[in-house]
Amino acid sequence: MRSFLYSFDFSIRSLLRRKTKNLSITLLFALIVFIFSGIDFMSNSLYESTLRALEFQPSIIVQKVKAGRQVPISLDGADKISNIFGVAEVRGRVWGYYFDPYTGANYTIMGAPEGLLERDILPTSLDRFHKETQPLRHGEAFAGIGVLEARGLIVGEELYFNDCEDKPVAFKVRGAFSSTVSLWTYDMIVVTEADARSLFGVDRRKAWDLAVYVPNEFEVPRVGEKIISMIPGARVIATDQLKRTYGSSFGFRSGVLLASSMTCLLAFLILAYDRVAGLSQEEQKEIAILKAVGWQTRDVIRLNMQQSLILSLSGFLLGIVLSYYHVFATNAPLLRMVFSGWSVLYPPYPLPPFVDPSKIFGLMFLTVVPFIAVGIVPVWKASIKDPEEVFRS
Amino acid sequence: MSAISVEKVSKIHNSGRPNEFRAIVDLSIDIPSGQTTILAGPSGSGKTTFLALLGLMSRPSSGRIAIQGKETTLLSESFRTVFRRHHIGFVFQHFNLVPDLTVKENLDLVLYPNGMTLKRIRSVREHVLERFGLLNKADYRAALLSGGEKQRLAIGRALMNDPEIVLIDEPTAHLDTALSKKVIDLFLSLKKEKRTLIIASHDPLVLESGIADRLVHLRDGRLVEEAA
Repeated sequence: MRSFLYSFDFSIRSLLRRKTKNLSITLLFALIVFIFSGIDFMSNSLYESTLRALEFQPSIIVQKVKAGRQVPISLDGADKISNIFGVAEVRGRVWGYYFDPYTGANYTIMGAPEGLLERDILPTSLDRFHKETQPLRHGEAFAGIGVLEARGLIVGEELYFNDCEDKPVAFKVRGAFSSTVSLWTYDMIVVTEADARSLFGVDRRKAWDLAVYVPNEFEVPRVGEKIISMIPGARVIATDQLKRTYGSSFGFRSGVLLASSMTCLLAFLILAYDRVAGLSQEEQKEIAILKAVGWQTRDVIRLNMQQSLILSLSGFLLGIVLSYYHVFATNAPLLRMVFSGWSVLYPPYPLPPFVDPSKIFGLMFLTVVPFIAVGIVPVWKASIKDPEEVFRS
Repeated sequence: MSAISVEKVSKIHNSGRPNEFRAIVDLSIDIPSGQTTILAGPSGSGKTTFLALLGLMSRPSSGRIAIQGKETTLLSESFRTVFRRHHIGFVFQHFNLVPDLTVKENLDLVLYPNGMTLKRIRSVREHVLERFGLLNKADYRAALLSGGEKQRLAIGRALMNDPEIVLIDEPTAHLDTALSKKVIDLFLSLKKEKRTLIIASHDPLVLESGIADRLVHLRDGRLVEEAA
């Protein structure tokens, strides 16, 4: 144990001798880990936020499509769908986007049935400011934090919009959504359905889409098929399908980023190759000196492994910490453009911290372990040479 | 009793290649314990190679070497290293210090694998630093030392593990006369401690210093003359 501690101590002092070289290796290592873990943090966080938000979504969304474009759907369809066995509830949803010329932001305005309680919509998300159970009334709104921040408002104040006829409409802010589902609620405003209809000019017998709730998830495909046969031209979207789409979308984007990070991977490979290729004469001589004064091959290999471990682990931890800070504290300015679509660029939503420990360990296994391993063979080769042979050369 | 017994040892460098070179040829010698033996001979006579063989830093191509009665030729690399750590100190012609390490770190290197307590390592190190007049240079990098200081450090390092046998290669090769005399004085003090010293040198200052109990001449890897 003592000799282990001494050699560990010696490893650190040895590394400090070649500060520039070792600092460069650590920084390169940190950069590689920063990029790869950043991509992973970002895609995980977005995907998890999406999944969390989708928990509140209906099982099926039914849209009407004409000439390839979505158009309002008749509420007659809702009555037909509610008669399908297995369907618990069908709601016509009135919602749309509102471009705010004052802040340059795009808000999502959602109409909710009159009398809706706070706990009925995104139940876990309304934990800030007001925890009332009063129903939402005409002229009132729940708003995402991004909306309030963009407008400089607090709960209790009024939000002003212009309706489809360009007349000003005011909504009193009843509450704000929390950051737990910020990806979906940051730019969202929920008003009564009647207010949404009036704002967007949607007919009373129509909705923008239909939300179908099916308690048994195994019945969703069958219900979806029936809806398609009942409503010609309907587009049926299952939440599971959305999950898969988001999953593959974030996977694709992280893949694109990973591909564009190949130069870093190349740098890592060059670093690894440099270690595999062999030791410098100076390093070989140092090993021969250690052997000459009584170090065994295993002592020399242990020293090398400790040095590699210190270098790679420092680089790894530095990369992870910087990456975590970059993604979750500064909202990933370097990665955001790749992962976000144009429609959610503003207001910028905060990324909820989500870290998958297994992926962190996986990344560590793929970087730290190979870095240590590739150094062993050349050191072993150098340390089994007779010291005299090295000194002579 | 013989400290070292060498029997018909040969060492061939680059064996089987066009540049094959027989550095030591059928050399046999017994080196008594507690005595000082000087290996004399011109450059290229095989002194350094012979010392490396005695120091278990190289394997003979043929023959056998027994140190303190233990046959070492067939020992594994690991046993040879441990044996060297416990019984042999080596002072190299070119010092072979780790230039970026400090004086005390160069000394500590020897004791790291022994599993000694830090207190004990410090105590041994302080003793060696004091003995070789390097206390005020303890935190200097070895690269910054003068030739004489490097030589003293190299000798001190060789003594860190308190070996019975000390092998010294051309100790005065890089030193002026005054420093050479100081170094010879150090060897005289080691001789008084009844250590077995084997010094390879062709420096008349060493040969005529009276330190040797025995003088052995090498030429072309062969023992050509021996004098008491």
